[in-house]
Amino acid sequence: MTGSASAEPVGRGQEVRALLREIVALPGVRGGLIVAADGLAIATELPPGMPVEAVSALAATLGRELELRGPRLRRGTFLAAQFTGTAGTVFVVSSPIGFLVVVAEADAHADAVRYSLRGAIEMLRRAWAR
Amino acid sequence: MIGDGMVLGDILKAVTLKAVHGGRRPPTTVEIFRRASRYRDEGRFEEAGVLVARGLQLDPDSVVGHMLAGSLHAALREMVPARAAFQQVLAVDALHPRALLGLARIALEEGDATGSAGLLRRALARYPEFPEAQALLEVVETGGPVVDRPAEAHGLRAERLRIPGECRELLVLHPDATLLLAQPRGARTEETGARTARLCRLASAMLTRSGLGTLHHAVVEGAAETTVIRTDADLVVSLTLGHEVETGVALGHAERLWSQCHQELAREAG
Repeated sequence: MTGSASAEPVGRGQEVRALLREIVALPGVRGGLIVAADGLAIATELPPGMPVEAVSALAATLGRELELRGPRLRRGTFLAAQFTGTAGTVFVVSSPIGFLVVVAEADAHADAVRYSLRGAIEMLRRAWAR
Repeated sequence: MIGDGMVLGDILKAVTLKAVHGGRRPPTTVEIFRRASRYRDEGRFEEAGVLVARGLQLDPDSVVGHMLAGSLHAALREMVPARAAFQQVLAVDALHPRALLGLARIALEEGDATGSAGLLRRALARYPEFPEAQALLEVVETGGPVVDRPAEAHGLRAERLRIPGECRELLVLHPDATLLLAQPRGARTEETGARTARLCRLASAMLTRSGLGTLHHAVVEGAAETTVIRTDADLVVSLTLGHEVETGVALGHAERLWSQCHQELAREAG
């Protein structure tokens, strides 16, 4: 961990939350979160009743498992994953600050979600390269 | 932070001198850690790390400081110093729930389910309503030991399944990671099977907690290849293919193999 601490935050947190809100506004998307690899939720847009802490812990552990799976098994870097249950899909992508996770219902347009996630990851990469 | 002492030291000296010459009161460690925590919450891990290093220079025994350091190292995927920081916390407070959770997650990543479960139970002994620990313990406890038996014992034979020619790897296992068939089988097959089973358990828990049912199928895109998984309560079929195969086609292969495996196992049992 190196780098320099600037005097005040530059509003990245707001950018991240706005980004997440855009994705969650897609039809069929129930919610989403950005969680650091240590399990801390950086931004959440989850529906009431969804257990934020438990979902964050599971999302970070799932993201790490995906990250570790590639190099350990000589499969290269993990790019994206989607897990489909009987009533919907969870999308997971890796980002500079952790994992972007989207929870979508079965009738959500998977291609639209994936397209938005790719855009969001690019935006996060640019923001964190500044 | 660890290993960057010289660079970090120079930065900290400059910051301290500026504060002194500016005539302002130097910030207290509480203020430093509070700001670091705010940076961490915004995903500004490296800036937070600089502040935590500064705070720990002023108060080397701070539980808050070591806890923040562990969390930041983990966020930056630096698991060796993360573990050291969490252990520093436990040296002061042996049942610190978040330090125990941090160590449990590292143990889980390393495949040490027993160690992870022990740490999570210790955290829950202090704080029974700890949702993160409860969620992870559920996942850890559903995973059984890996019991490898030859494929013949299960009636599954690769030659009886129509494995697609583009297949780079096929794994068939029970959700507890008991391997039924691996094609090809290599030095890392057992580990691949265990990791695949753990991935399915985590994904299923994530789906269930999100109100989306249990895991039915998955697509994991890597830089070099794609893995598709079809699963239910009894069987996990994992098929790895190159990017030249479309995802829909790959899922079709996985579905057919899953169905064939069930038929073969039912025939054997009958």
